[in-house]
Amino acid sequence: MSRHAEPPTRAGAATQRFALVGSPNAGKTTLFNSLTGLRAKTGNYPGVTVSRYEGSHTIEGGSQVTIEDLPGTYSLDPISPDEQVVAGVLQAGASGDEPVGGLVVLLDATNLRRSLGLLAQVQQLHHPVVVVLTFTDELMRRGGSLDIDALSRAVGVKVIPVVAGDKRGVASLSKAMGDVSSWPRPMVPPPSDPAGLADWSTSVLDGASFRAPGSDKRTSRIDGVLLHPVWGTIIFFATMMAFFQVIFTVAAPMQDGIETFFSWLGAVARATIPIAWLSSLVADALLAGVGGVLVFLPQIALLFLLISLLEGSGYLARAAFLMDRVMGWAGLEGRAFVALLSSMACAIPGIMATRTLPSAKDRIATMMGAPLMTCSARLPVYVLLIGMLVPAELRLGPIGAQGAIMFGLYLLGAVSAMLSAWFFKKIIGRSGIGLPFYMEMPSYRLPRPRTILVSVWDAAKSFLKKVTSIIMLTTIILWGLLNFPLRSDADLQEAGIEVRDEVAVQSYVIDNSVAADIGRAVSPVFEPLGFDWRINVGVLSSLAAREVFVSTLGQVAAAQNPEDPVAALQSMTHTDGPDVDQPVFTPSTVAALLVFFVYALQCMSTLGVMRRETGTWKWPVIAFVYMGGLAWVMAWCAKLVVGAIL
Amino acid sequence: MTHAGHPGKRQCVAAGGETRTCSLAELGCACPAKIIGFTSDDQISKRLFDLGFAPGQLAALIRKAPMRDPLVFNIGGAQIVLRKREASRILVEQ
Repeated sequence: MSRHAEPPTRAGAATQRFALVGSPNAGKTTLFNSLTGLRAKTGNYPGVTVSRYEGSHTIEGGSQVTIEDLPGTYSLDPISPDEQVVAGVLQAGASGDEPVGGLVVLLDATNLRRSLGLLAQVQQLHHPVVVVLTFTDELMRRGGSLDIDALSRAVGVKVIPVVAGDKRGVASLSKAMGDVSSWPRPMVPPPSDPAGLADWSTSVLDGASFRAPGSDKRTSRIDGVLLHPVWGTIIFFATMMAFFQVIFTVAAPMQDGIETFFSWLGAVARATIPIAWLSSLVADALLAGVGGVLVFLPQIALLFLLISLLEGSGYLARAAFLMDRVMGWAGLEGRAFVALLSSMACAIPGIMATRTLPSAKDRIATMMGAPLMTCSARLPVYVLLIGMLVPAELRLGPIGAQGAIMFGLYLLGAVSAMLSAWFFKKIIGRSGIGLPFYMEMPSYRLPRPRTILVSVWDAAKSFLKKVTSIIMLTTIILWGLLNFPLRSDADLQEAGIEVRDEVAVQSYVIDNSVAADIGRAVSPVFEPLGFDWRINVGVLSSLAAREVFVSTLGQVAAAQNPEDPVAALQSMTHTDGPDVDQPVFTPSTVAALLVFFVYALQCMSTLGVMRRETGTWKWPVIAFVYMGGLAWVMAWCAKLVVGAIL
Repeated sequence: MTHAGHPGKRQCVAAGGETRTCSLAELGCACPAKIIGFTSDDQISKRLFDLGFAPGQLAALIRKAPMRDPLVFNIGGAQIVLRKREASRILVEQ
């Protein structure tokens, strides 16, 4: 059969491209992973917030083909950017610069009538089509039946059953992909009008002696408990608590380990590199930068492990169902809940978790709100500042005042995140029609280890690859700002600094650095908030990561006692301006700083991930600017209010 | 308390032999109802059609979320979640 030569590929296009088309939950991801393994790469379609998955597969005979996993869709009449991508790729017959050699359409055997509607739309495009029939095992278990050969005759194309990515099915699909020219085509494409389509589907189903599956007894029994108004709600909150606890606490020892390891490496570098500025660059910028990126990895891996467990088992759809009404108040849908919850550990995995949202508009709105959720990096800053604001002994009844303020900050963050998501949902693409909310409740299934592995691997890899460069660059620039101009021992002696006194040297270098100049230059902006130039330097340095604020302030304040920066900071006074010798950290300034950290997007990693997930710099820039503006205004209000009360 | 033929707000109740038309959002019980059409002919209705809510098919309410919205329907062997707003576009008879 392969005698009649090469398929008509364009000159230069060495590999053939196959696109997987199917509805969400039709088993597309499982098939894609079986075909491509860990050789998949993730990207974005140009100009839209739609992830693009493609990978290579070796067919029999050793030649390579490209497999593209198109976003799941129920129809080729696009009403969302994701569906526009699918329709666009299929209609243009090309994705990027490679033509589509053939389409692999997935039909869910338990949902055959609906799947046939999508197949009919695809067949009208006149591309070579092969059908992969999934979930035939579940069809049988639920008492349904189907004659696969008869189905193949009825739809006029080759039908290959592949159950949960089994080797035999994948092998015969692989073989078929090696010989597209032999794929049968139907004499006439199926009708496109709704009435004709319904008749066509009925005749195909009759022809294939299809008996519809009964309701899934196992799933309805489990749902009876998990979606029960009382028990279901309790189980949901317990699951989410456990989910959050795992991301937060299980990751913590691993994160501590990574931090300890990198500070040890830094110490080694400082001890072995004789040139002072070079050892500082390696230890404080390069190693600290790498460590600062790697420290997020345990959380990201755990989050994706848990999400793919929840998704693979079918519970994620149930959680979205239970939370939909609440999220609806923010104009979002149930599936956004997991992203916002994860952001309480760290906005980075939270933003990556928005991939589970089918609507690009919801995805952006959620991303714009997610960084306002109180992430773990804000904790050290809050602990330091709250400690300066109220003494630990102060109690309001049974509740400590410090704890109450902490809770208030969490609440402020969560409410602001929801409001901001609501706002962005309102203003993004007002002209477009409102997407209806619909979601399929999959049957409960055992999650597949391979799918979980691929999901964790993919998330970790793409995070490291794309974000490392951005964070490294920022860390090095910040290091430069805080350490330039470089000081020789002679300079220090001239300034009357004891060269062996590291704290004094450090504080002298920072006090006279470019960053300090910037801190002084931006004072007019932050003066209304009560920030002096040293706080400005701290805010500037916290751009690398919020918790850096604590150590920078410690250094900048020239803490005589580095073990207890709080005492040193409390005695810090203004060095210039109208408030000379007045304490810097008055209650109203501390309150302003706290509120500033609630809102400001002081995290380059978050901006980097936003860039990666949206495929454009537009959204990170908008987020940075609006959160910065909001931070200033809210901090100013907080200063006024606290100043008026105390 | 039946309002057969009453054009105002109706509650679909399976009562002896009579057929009544109402929207899918008003289905009161788990008994299947036959889909007869949509309240409007636009993209959203087309999408509901593509989801399997095709005229002639039987749809049944399976469950409501704790705050009575969204709703889960059984349609052609699949469980589909719709909000009341979308479900009220689908007309059924019982």
